[in-house]
Amino acid sequence: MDDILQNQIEDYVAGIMPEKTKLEFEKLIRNDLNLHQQVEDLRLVQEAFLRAHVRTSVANARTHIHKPKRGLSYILGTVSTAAAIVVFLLSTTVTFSPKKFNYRGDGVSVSTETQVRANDYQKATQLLENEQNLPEAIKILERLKADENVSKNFRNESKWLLVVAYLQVGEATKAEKTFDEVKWEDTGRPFSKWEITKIHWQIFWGKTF
Amino acid sequence: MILGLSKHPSDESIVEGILAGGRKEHEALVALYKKFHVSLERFIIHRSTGRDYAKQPEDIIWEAIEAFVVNVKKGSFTLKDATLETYLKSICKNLWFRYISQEASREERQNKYMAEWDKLEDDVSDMLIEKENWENYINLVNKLGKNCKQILDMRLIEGLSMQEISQKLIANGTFENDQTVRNAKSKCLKKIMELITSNHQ
Repeated sequence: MDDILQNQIEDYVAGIMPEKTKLEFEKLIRNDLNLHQQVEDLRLVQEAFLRAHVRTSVANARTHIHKPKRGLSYILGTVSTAAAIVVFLLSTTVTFSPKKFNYRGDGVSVSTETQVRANDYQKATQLLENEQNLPEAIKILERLKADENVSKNFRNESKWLLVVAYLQVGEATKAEKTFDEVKWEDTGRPFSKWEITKIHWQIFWGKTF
Repeated sequence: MILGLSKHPSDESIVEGILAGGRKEHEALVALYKKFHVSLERFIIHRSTGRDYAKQPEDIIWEAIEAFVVNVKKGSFTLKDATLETYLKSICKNLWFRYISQEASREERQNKYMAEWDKLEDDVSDMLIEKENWENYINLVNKLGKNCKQILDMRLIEGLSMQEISQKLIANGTFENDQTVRNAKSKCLKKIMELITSNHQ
């Protein structure tokens, strides 16, 4: 087959043959079975290409629809979720683990007063841990905090527990005042930035509402 | 931009986008899916038997979209024939019943689905009968080299002349001269025609 005829078949099947030439060419097709077959074969190839093209386009659209979103709404959604999580964590109760002071002496004799104070401290921490009778816990801790006979270490620990207790009963102003006293002192408490932020957050919201 | 006009594109703008090709075609396909997938999924689920099939309504919807796009590009669908939703539902119904009738046991087929199968619209049924053949042809096309596919796509789908194809492919450095492009086209066309016509029944 010559190149001219092949080009004509391709132009005809691709739909780019000029109208006048097309009418003449269709006459030829009607009278030439071999040419007719060649046109039909090329149509078949054309449709296979068309379908392959469509399949790729549809697959791309499907991938696009189902791919994870990376747009502005996705970013805003992620930021909002992260912010909500942080706010939630900041709003949870401040955790603490009462220190075990060796005031009973473990074999070393201690005075009755010291023993009483140690028992009071233990009672206050238990009340606080179980969130029971918080006013009573606060009363004990305030007394320990103010007692000059109590060691510095013991008093600071009582102040720290008082901050937690005040926050639990919604006394944000008192919590703030006590926290300001204790946070710069060497309490041995592992005050992380997170713990400090959390306390500040709860004091802030406690005072606001 | 055809589809950028509205969040709820009309049937006409979707068909125009598909015919425009390229980026607009992609946008039209995404819009088409978003516009109809809920109603199509409900339509298919309503016609399912409750059995767990490997193919999900989602797969049927995308197959239907593919069949629809082929018909639009071939010019065998116009909006005068039916609304887009009606047409897509018709294709989904055919694809779904065809699929479950293949999957179901002979007895189930006879008792339940063949009655429905008889009701299939002729126009889309014809298309489905040749589905397997087309799968083979698409695979053959996809096995061609990148340059072969590009040249024949330009010639047969985009409708470019050989001169225009040569200019493009020489300009982007794929080929050195006009004659090498023509030779490549002849070779590729001969190869794919042999493969497809020998498979054609």
